[in-house]
Amino acid sequence: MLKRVISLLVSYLVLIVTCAFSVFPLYYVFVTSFSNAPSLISLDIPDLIPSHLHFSAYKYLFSSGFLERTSFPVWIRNSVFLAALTALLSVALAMTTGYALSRLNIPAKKTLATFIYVLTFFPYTVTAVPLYLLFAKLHLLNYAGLILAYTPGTSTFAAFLAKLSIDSIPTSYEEAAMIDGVSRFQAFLRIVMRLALPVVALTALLGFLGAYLDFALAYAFILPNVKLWTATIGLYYLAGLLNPASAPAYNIFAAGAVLMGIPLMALFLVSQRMMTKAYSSLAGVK
Amino acid sequence: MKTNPSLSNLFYILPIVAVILFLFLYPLAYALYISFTNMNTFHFFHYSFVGLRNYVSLFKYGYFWTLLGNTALWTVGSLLPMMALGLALSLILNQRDLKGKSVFYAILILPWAFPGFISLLVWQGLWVDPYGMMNRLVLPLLHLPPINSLTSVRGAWIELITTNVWLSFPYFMTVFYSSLQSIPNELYELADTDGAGAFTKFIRITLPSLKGTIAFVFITSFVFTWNNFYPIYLLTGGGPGISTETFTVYAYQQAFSYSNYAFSSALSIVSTIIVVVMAVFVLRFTKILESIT
Repeated sequence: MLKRVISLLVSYLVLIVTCAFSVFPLYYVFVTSFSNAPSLISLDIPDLIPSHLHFSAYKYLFSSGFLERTSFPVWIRNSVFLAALTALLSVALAMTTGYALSRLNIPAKKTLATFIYVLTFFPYTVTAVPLYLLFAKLHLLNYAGLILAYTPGTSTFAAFLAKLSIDSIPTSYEEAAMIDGVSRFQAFLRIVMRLALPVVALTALLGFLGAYLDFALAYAFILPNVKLWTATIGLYYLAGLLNPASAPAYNIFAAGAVLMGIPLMALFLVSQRMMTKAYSSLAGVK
Repeated sequence: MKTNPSLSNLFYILPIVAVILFLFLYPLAYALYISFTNMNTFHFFHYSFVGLRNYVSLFKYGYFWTLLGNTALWTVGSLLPMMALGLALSLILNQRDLKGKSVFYAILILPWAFPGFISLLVWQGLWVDPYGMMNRLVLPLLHLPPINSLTSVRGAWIELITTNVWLSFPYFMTVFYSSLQSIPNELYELADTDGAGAFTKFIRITLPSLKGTIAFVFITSFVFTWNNFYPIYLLTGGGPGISTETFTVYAYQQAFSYSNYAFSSALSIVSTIIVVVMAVFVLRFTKILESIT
């Protein structure tokens, strides 16, 4: 009995310590965003337990421009635009591929499926350099190029989830509709897409998050054009990593990190729940 | 559609084939081509063939072995503590008489939920020596010496791995926790009636039940961590010198910081070959392919 009490006490201790470890950086950035500390040096240890909340950093983020009159809302808008188009393209690509791999009679289907699966292992930084050089020649170092570069990653991965999810939908629904004179493509759009809606949503969410949180490609493609900057480049600049001398105050970076992080955290938790569902259906196939 | 079904079927598969050809294979072939030239800032439009020179210098000056060693240290050095912490926490949370599980779980999952890129920028500020909070507050509180990743190789690795563990342990905790919950309770009750201790139960019941999950998670995370770009790029930038540089980070920097496109392409090709070999190994080992194609 005493042994059990001691092991429970140790358990609580470990949990409390790791919870502190988990929370500390997030608490730190949250508190800093409400401080008026202009730099890391001026941020003091007592500032971690604030006596007064300053909203100046948030006001500054929304009121003024930083470089060439771009500002935080512009970066967010750019990122949302890029991410939404990537999500749309990823869904279209993943669903048609998943449908073809699941339902249609296509030559070399198995080879193609294996090949697509191997591609999901590729880091996108491996193709970043050649894509950059190719796109420089094709005048695609812009949003069109970025969307083209973002889409393959999500859609190859999502194509598999789509295939598995379509596998589990009985073919009788589409067959009945097609006997009634609906074309295969319409059956795909109206019936399969609707029944596979969780995977459609998950693909859209993954495509959105992937593009929204990309830094490597955006930095390589569009850094010279400040007006095109995405939120990740903006945050990198605010953190003082691009040009320490010209970066605004550190509490402004913290406010940007909080504003950008919290909605994405909510999106992540939603997609997490959906992922777990998708994986449990995958486990059912195994 | 009735006239030639196979032709209309191709309509569904053409987009992905086009994407693979133009956005995966063509760039890779182009990288291969560039890697045999001397394309850089000085020879951007008028580059010439130099044969295997880029590959030779990759091996001759020891870059390859340094990068391979760093990448291996980064991958294994991150994965082992991540998995150990994830497993320990999942075991702790799985105790029946523990109170407040959902609260602890909700807090512990936060590092995974908060966008990694932003967390890394925050951690970058935390680690700055001597003004960052790690060196001013946390390390002194724990009676540990300060860490300067600009001068100390050891310090740089400690910083990278600590941050990476923070980013990823909730993933392992979640996966292990859900697979622990699927172990039937009767097994433990039977062991209890046989008078087995906690350690015996762990070795005989828990570990064997988790074997499949651990293998799967280890192999997939291995490839992910091997390719992982942001932590190193944002925290140490591969420094001091090139002592924390991995294939992915170094290839990116060579291209976009130093315009050494040819050398960077050679690195990308080498790292792609390694990744493909690992991918094939994963496919063989996990037998995932049989279940999904």
